[in-house]
Amino acid sequence: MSRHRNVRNMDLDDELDDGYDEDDYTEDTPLTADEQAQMADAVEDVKAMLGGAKISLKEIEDAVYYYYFDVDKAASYLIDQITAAEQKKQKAAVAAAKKAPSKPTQSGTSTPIGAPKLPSKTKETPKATPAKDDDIVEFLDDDEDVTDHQLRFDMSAMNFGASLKQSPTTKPTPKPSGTLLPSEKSGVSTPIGSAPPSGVSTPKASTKLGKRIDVVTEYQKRVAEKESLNLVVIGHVDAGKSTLMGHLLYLQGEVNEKTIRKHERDAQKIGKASFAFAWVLDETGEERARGITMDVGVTKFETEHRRFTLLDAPGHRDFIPNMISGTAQADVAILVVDATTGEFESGFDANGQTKEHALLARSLGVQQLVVAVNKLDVVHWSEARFQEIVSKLELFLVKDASFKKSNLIFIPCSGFTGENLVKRSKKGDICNGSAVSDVPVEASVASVLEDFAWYKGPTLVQTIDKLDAPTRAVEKPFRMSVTDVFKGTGGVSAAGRLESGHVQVGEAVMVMPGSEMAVVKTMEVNDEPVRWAAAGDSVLLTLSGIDILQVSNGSVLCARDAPIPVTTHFAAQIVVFDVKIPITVGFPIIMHHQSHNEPGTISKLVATIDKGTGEIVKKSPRHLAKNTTAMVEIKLNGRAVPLETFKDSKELGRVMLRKGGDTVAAGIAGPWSNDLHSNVHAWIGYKGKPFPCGGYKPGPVTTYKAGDIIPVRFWNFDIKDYKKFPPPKGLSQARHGGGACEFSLSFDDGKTWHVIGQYTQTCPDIYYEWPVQIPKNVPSCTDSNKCLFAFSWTAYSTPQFYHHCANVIIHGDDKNGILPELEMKVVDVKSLHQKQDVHALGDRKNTRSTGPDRREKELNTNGYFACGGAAGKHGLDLGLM
Amino acid sequence: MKLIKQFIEKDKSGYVTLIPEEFEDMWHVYNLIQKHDQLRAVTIRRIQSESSTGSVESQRIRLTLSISVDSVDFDTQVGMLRISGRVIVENPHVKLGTFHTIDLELNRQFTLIKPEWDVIALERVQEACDITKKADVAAVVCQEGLANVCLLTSNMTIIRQHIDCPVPRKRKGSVTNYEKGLKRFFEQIYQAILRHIDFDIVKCVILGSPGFVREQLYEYIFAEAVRTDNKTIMQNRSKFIMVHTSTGHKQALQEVMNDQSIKTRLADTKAAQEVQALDQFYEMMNMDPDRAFYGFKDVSKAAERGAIGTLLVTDELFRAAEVAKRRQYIALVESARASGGKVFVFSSLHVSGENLNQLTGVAAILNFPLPDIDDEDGEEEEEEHDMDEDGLPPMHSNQNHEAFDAILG
Repeated sequence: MSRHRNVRNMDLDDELDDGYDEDDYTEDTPLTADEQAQMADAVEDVKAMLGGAKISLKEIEDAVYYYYFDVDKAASYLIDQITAAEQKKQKAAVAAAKKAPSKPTQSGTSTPIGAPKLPSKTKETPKATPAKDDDIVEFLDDDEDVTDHQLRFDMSAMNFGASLKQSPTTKPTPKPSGTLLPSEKSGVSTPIGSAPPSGVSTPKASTKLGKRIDVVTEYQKRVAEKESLNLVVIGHVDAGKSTLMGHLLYLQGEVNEKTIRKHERDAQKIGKASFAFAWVLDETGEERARGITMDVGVTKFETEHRRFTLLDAPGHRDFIPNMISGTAQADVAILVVDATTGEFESGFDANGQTKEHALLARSLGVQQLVVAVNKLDVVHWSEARFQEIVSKLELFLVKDASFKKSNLIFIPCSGFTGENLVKRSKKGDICNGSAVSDVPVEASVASVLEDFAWYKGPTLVQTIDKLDAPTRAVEKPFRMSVTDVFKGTGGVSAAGRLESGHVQVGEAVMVMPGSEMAVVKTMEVNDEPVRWAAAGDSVLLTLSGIDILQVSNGSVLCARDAPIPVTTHFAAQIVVFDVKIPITVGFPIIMHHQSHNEPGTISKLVATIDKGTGEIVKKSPRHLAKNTTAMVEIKLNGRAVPLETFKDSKELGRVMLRKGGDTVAAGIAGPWSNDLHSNVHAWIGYKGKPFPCGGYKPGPVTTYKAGDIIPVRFWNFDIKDYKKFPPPKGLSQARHGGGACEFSLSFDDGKTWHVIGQYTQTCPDIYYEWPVQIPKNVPSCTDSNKCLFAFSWTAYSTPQFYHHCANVIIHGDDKNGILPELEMKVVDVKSLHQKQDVHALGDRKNTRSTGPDRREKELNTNGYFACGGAAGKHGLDLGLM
Repeated sequence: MKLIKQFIEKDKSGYVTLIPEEFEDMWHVYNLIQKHDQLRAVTIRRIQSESSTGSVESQRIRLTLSISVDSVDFDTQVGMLRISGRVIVENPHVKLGTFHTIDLELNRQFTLIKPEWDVIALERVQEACDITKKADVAAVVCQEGLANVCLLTSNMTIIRQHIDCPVPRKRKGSVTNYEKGLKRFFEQIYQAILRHIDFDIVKCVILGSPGFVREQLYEYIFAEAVRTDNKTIMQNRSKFIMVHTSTGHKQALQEVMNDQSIKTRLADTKAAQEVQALDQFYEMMNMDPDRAFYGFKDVSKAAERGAIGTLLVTDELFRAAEVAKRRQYIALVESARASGGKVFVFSSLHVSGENLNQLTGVAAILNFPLPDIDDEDGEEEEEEHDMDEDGLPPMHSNQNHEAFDAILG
């Protein structure tokens, strides 16, 4: 097995080792005499509690030790495991029945189950040479693909005001449990029962493997039990968002009586008695003193069928960045509007936040919106007023914000009195909410009973209990956007939302930007410690093995074998909002991505696009007026941000552009231009591993057909940015004009290499494209772990050698395919001690090369290196010059 | 800047002797000096002399040298101006044609000889020597976790310190982390203010932020000044002004400039005028796109027809190394003036100038609409595309060798 393969497999263990060494994990230390005695007692107790369940002594010991002699916990854990194992067995049986030949190789010891695979991704990998324009059209027009349906749906969200012609089938419905799981995966034989560390005597390696949890299965179970949703509360300042939610939390029993009484007293002291409920969520001194929410308040509550993570967004326009941060994490939203005469109007006009919040929420992917018409008690529960607000809002939300009418629900309520939040007041109720009220209690109940009798619909809680949970990308590579970082106990605490994939305790994750590795030490979801989390969860991770400076608000934690791209310059499709001044080239913006914002400019206006058809209306427009849809390029002034194309990730592909306190446009990132970044993902010098595949960095897998021409470009860190913002540690750039470049394929994970193209004069040089053709008659290679496309470089006069590769999948000739015969030139780097850099012909400093040699280019793209052909046998002469 | 002597011939060639007196003057000089100009100034050169026995002696000599300018290098952070070129007047110590780099210093006079003193250059001299146009303002724009401490003068915006100090967010049940983080953040700003702001010079200190950060900062600064008994800060309390901005990024400075209370404080309104002019341009673009154009081609077409009402152009264009290019722009400015238009030469160090630079560096608001300019433009689109491809960044020095060595083991 080649070394780089080892690297891939070894790293996880290394990281884990590090983690354990540092933290002195208890399982590696032998038990003391005391502990042994305790253990014996505990095991007896547990056995008694479990009755006759089939469980080995060792498992009990492990569990007991894991919970450190807490007999109750250990027992309940084991009971869970037994039931889980049984369910698992049943499932596996079902799966096996469905698909008879399960894959035994998958359960091999070296495949970490937690590491997400990318089977779904490869199907939509872009073609080798995507023509930009065609791509857009396809992106908008393809009716066949389900993913594209979804894309289009989201695109129409971008095109505010565009007619929604798409059929209602485009609505993503929550997948019934089970479909998320390819049947073969459930056949993976990880023993769930051995989840806790399997104890003192077992060797380390098996300890780690045993600990892994099959998150996908667990996730299914959890979803079946109760779906979780992230709910954001938005609306104009002083609409009563915090009070409404504070009251709701109180009524749901999340906040106890004592706390509320305390808030009441304290609030009264500073003359803000009516803010008592808001204080549940507004916790900083500043927020309480000023009576407004400034940062997103996060808490949780449960209803009958749903588990909610509640995000209380600030309404004041200055805190819209925080609101964006909160809304980016949300699946559904409650828009709170103030029904008071004059207040609704001021929130709804141009300077109010009602519209902006609704637009932002829609652009950030919220599809279901509950509108809480609040403070209806002030207008004496007037039905006319309620209807007036509903009609005005509905018009705007459907027409301008592209919400579907069926996804809008209007609920009249009062956050202050608590009416219609959880239940309606009934005759005989003494008070309908809290005691903090200026109105005499009985009078208020009486007035509600009389005036509010017209409303027959559901309460707020009943409504949100019926909201659909969106489909989670659990199967995609792990991504978590960090919204908050602080020094926690025993490591760096990072809070955020899992955008896709899943993660579990003990797993190694990569922090981008920076490419730093860290190990997940502990994990909390909704303030409770858990061992795993999946897409959609708001989690708090404790990371070890990393400095706090490496993680910041806006970082993305990702799977180590599928890091997220990081960029400062990218293409995007934007929809311009109602702007006062048109967008021109050089338009300064602040780009909001997740909870991070970064200044930048719009560096190029590529084209304006027709909202309906997606066709290009005008190329290089001079400016973008309001409500236009356009392709632009955005350049950031500062740090690079982790960003994915919208196609790859809906959550991480959205950006909001703001200027001077107004949101000027909403956009989706991509498609990327056809540089190396999106095509072949490999950086020179990654981690300084010398050979082979020095630049090997596990990355996205690109799919090619035999006969495809790979337009190789060398990744260039634009030198200006490069100096200011050094690339991730260990990365350098391709900067040579000379030597000999070879492009080869390996079908056996790097053991043997087959050359498919050579440039012997001027390569590599970042300024040109270096096309090479995959021979038409190569066999297929569909196991991305084995198939590599590599670039290697050898110098003429000194033995210098670079080699780096990228994962590929090749669809070729399955019957008669043969491999190219020419072998890769290799220079023995171990025997090299020469420091001097010798410049060969064409290897000139500070100059651009003349680009690919015409003759070589022809040879490389016209089947010269075809397999089995006479020409391919010898290739070009690489002799000294 | 002090103008000592000025002599310009009818053919516009001639010389000017100046004494730079403050930091900003260096910026003016940087904009004045072109390649192939001649510069005479006092400088220090290390001279090596070999004695008859062969021992080499080296000494530093102070001497006046004349050089023909080859390149000019300006460092905004320290205000250093380094001009290098070939020596053109022989000297007992220095041979003709050898290279020399002159560091221009404050309060040291120098003479600049130009083959052609054009309008822009002369205006620059005049402006630099006008002492009524002085205003030094310090500004701190911030948002939670991010602050920029800057100095604003009529021609420059200099970021003195960029503070990036992540503040943890409030969490349920615990706000201590947040409050601690915020305090640390304010402390850093306070230290930056002490270090970078000279209260003898600045007229006011602007605190700009969204939300209440500025008020909290203001309170913190004076609480801290009282605690540490810092008299300077306390005495200058009246110099602190709070302004609302939408962000803490550098862009917010433009909002600062637009604020009414700041405009009145700035003795010279050049910077503020520039911001206004740019805003007007954008507004016009929205209202009547046929009356607002940018890009040299479009603008010069408008100038040919005498349509330019206001011309916005950045000083960066006049620093162009090519004489022909500079002439083009000067001709544009002159023709705009001739037809009664106003001309604003933006300083590229200001945020508004940066913004205009991104917008090709030249823009114009027209007196009457010219809808046909846009159409003509379409035909030339192809051409522009070709230029784009050639406009790739220049190639830079070879591969960093350390990484190289690391790879090779």
